[in-house]
Amino acid sequence: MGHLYALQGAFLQQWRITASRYQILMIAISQIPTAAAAAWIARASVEQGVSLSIAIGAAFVVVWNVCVFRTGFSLLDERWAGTLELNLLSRSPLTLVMLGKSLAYVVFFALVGLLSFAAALLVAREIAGIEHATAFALSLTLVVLAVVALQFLFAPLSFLVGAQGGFFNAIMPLGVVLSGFFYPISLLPNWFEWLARLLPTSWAMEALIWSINGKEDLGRVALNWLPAVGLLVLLAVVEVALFLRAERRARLSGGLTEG
Amino acid sequence: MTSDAPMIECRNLRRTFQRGGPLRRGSEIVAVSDISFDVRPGTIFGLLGPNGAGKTTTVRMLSTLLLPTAGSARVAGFDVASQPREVRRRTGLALGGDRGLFGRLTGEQNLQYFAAINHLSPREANRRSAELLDLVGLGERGGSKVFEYSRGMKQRLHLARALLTEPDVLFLDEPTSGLDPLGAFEFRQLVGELKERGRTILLTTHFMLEADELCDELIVIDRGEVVAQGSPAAIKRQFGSATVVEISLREPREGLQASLGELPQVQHVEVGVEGMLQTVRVHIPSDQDAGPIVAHIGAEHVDHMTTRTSSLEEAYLTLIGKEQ
Repeated sequence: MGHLYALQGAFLQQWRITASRYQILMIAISQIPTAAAAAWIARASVEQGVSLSIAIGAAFVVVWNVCVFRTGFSLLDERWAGTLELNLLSRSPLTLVMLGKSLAYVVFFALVGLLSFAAALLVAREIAGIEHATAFALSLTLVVLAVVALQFLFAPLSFLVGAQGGFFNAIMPLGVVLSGFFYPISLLPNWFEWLARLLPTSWAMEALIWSINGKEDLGRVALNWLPAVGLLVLLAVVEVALFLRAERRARLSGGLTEG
Repeated sequence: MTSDAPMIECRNLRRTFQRGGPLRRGSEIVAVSDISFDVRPGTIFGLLGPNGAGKTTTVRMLSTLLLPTAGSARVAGFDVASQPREVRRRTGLALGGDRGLFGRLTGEQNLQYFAAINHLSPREANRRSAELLDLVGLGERGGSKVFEYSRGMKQRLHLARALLTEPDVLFLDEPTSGLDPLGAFEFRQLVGELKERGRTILLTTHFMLEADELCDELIVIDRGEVVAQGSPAAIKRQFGSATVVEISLREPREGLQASLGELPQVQHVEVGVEGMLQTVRVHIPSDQDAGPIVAHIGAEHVDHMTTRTSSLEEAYLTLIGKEQ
């Protein structure tokens, strides 16, 4: 129960700091044009359900772009603010405390993502039906979990390697391309598709797109869930290991505080 | 742990850092070298020393934020290196300063967050936060954002945060640093009250008055090493030059500090200005007479003179002066 309080407390603390109308406005201004442009291009497509999958993808692009950056700097921000040491002294593992904060980012910016979703649908002027509703719901859930897990990786990673200027300028668009938020990754060149297959987001988004357009049967859609879940679990293990390494390095080197 | 076992035990504690950071091979900086001490339950133990002496590094090792390079330490019966979780359950740490708090949250929200990550339920967190804000005198400002707090208020909030889990041992790192005299006085009173309630407190400070007033026992650290250990009174007796001769001169004299320093009985000389008069403060052993000092200066140049026993601050300055 204590760990749940920690997760909840961390979520609430980060939400209180992050949630503001100004944040919504700034992110919406920066992200909605991309969503609208993608939807405009999709209008030319004769593929069934393209508009809906583009709109959903647009929402995830917002979450990915904003959260990978915010979460990626979260440990470094806490160190700068002098609160990292106190988080480390908590009764829950640092991983859990930072996960609570990351979830606050994801939930808040998902709300902003809904604006991109709505904008894309408005531009597309089409709401297609969903071929496999249950598969759609499960695939959507998997995409959400995959995005949460993937962006969370960058919290301990950027702490360990020391995120230099421009680090996330490379990560953000790469994540969008490899995750297949706007198109099936089967459209990518072979060698690029192999790289995309290393991410749980790409498998989950592909399943989501198929469940909308009905291009593959339920069995094929479900087959995509297995690697998505497997990669999710692997990511979680790697993230815990990286957080433990970050903590150990900080305790050895004294790098828990700046200045 | 038995009731008479030390609450904190340090044995040959050592901490070094690589110059240039952990990934670069550079020379080693010894921050703490071979420190040993015990802290009895229910007492206030002081780490006294100048900036950079190794006080904060020692506290960070005892609170499990830093791993010792060598030696061992046990807090509340648990090893700080191999049992950090158990140590953290029983300790509270107040590092102080402007950092370590979320400025955009209120004082109450800050405490609720730290309570939650230390496994207090929301109801218990609310109750405890309100109680502690009252204890530290922030009851009426708990709803204000922390960036609106004064330095003293932030220090008090740090203390409230450290007390959330009712720890057996409290680490206070320079808790009155940056406070005005009234704020520092009130804070020291609070610390005294916590001791009355049975807490074991380890306090770091470079304010000699604070160590003298609060601590049951203390160690003096300089450049990572213990240079004195004992009660404030014992340290004053052992290292204090028991007599301080203060002389105000009718007119300023050049070169006095150097020439007085050459006298065999003089341990320490300070020359300054108070008001319009040049003053000389000379430390000599308590069994020595001030006569040779006055003769050296020349009685006709003396406006007035007083003698008194030295304070812990002066004993400390003498001690540090001996080591340099």
